[in-house]
Amino acid sequence: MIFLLPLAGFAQQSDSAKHPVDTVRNKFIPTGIRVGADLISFAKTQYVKSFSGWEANAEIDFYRYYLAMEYGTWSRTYFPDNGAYENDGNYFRVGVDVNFLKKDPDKNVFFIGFRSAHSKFKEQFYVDVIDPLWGNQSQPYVNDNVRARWFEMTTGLRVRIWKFVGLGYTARFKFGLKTKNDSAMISSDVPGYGRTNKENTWGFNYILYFRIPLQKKR
Amino acid sequence: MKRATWFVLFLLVGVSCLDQPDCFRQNLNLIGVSFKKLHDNKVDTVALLHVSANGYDGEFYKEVLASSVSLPLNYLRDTTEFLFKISEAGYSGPVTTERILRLSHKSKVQFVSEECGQRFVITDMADVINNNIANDFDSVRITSKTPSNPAPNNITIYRCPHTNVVRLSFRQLYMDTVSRGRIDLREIETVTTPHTTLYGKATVNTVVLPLNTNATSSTYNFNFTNGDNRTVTFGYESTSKEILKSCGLQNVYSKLTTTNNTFEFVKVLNDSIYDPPITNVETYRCPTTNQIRVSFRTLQGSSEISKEILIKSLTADYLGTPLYSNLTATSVVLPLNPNTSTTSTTFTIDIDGIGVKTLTVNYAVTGRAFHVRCGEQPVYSAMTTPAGDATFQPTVLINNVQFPVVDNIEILL
Repeated sequence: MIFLLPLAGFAQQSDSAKHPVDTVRNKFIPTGIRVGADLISFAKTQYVKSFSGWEANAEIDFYRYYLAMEYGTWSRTYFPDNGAYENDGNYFRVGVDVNFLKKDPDKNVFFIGFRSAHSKFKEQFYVDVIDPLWGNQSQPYVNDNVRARWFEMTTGLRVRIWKFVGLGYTARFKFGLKTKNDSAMISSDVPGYGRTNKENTWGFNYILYFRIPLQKKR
Repeated sequence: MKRATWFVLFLLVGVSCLDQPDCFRQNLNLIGVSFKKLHDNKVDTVALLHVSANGYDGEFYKEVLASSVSLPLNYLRDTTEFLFKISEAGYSGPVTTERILRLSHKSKVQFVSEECGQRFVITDMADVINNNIANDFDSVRITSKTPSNPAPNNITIYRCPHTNVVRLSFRQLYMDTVSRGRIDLREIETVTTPHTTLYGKATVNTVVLPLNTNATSSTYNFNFTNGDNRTVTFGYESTSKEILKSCGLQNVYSKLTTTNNTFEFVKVLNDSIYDPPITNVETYRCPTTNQIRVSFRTLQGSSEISKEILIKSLTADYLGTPLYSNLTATSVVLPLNPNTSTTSTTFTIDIDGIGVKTLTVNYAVTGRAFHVRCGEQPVYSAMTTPAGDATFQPTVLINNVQFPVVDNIEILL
């Protein structure tokens, strides 16, 4: 992030001298929509055997405030020695970002934001239990309709690299996870959040995006 | 190019941060069970012959004394039933009781990782009493419904007070006027009733004795390792009384007395039974006032050292049988003539390698009653011994008899 900031600052300095920005008139009218996809999910799907998923996001600006929405799917499969675990579901995040590069003519963004996230998924765990005291048991455990919700504090960068194409990242601090299911299995992994054994956790997305302008550049 | 390099770097960093949980302790299913007494909430030590569970062929504990145990709940089921076999001392022999602790709980599985596998988490543990199946313990209290690993304290099992256990302590009187003397550590060979052995070899200053709940008297025989044998019989009354509501009516024993007692002296301090047992009865030994210790020494260079000798026989002039035969020792304890009309006692000692020697101890003796219960006892003072020969030279170190015995005479060989 630190290395990318000077690039944005340099562009701002060269353009602002030629085209002074109108900071008063119609400032809350959206200037563009960004739609993107998470490259890390794509890479993990290719190279991590136990993971499969994708994530797309969209942002629309209202002056320096961005309404952000993210949607993704993911499934995980694990094979411990005595069984198999898998989950499969989707998740949705919505939130607001505050841009701290509001005068950047390339619409580069450095933001801090907040998300409310929800997930719906199913999971199953087939396990052979061998216990020296209580004997052996082979049984499938299924959670068919699990719902989860959590919150995120986010920060990130969006940088235009060529015409309408840009790259960026989002770092997430996830907390406040709550899951709801009535089965005999405690959820292990929540799509969009990660492992449930942690009260809070970190996440990172690396995004390739396209910006669709809604206003003519002045 | 420079920008692309940094973007790729961030991508690699992001991919590398995959989330793997630690392998923490699996199967949080251990519970801690502690034993306490209902009437005073104090820790109770229980003799557990056997602790097992329904569904498990083995045993968790066998023949141990414990005030708490750690037990695993059956995480593959919704209930666990533990069987406790407890032994308590009884007048006619050990009384074994079987108690059952039934617990219900919720068990959930969770996948941990490929390396760790699964774990089971148990919650909502409860006492099973809702199906009219009562636990057999006097009282059970669940202090924490969540097992863990290691076991926390989840359950406290209470027992009603024992109403039939008497405490008897041993005390030694001295050559002073302290009426209760001091604690007396006795080496016991056995303590028995007509039906069973309550104590084996032990060195104790107090014993706890269960009363015969089917009679109004109980007799105990004490065999001490010094050859002393004593008997005491207790008499008592029994009434039915509710001490604690949850214990219902219990037989309470009181008005304790002693009869048929062969101890030197026995005193009832408290005639009612309590739990934990307080000292109900004290036995006393009178001081021995006529014993002296004679030690044997030899010269090594210019200094004297202890000498171990073989005493073939040692007799006293007033006794018909030898005091010692074939004894190897560096010192001996000798009893002076208890007859207060004599003022000397002569000992004949046959020492291996030296021959037969005579030790005459002269003294002044008076009678004195240190303790009324001991009566008048001889007190020896102003001890002297005649000089011996070159191979047997007695010297008086302390010229009066004391209790406990001291080194009164030293013989240089």
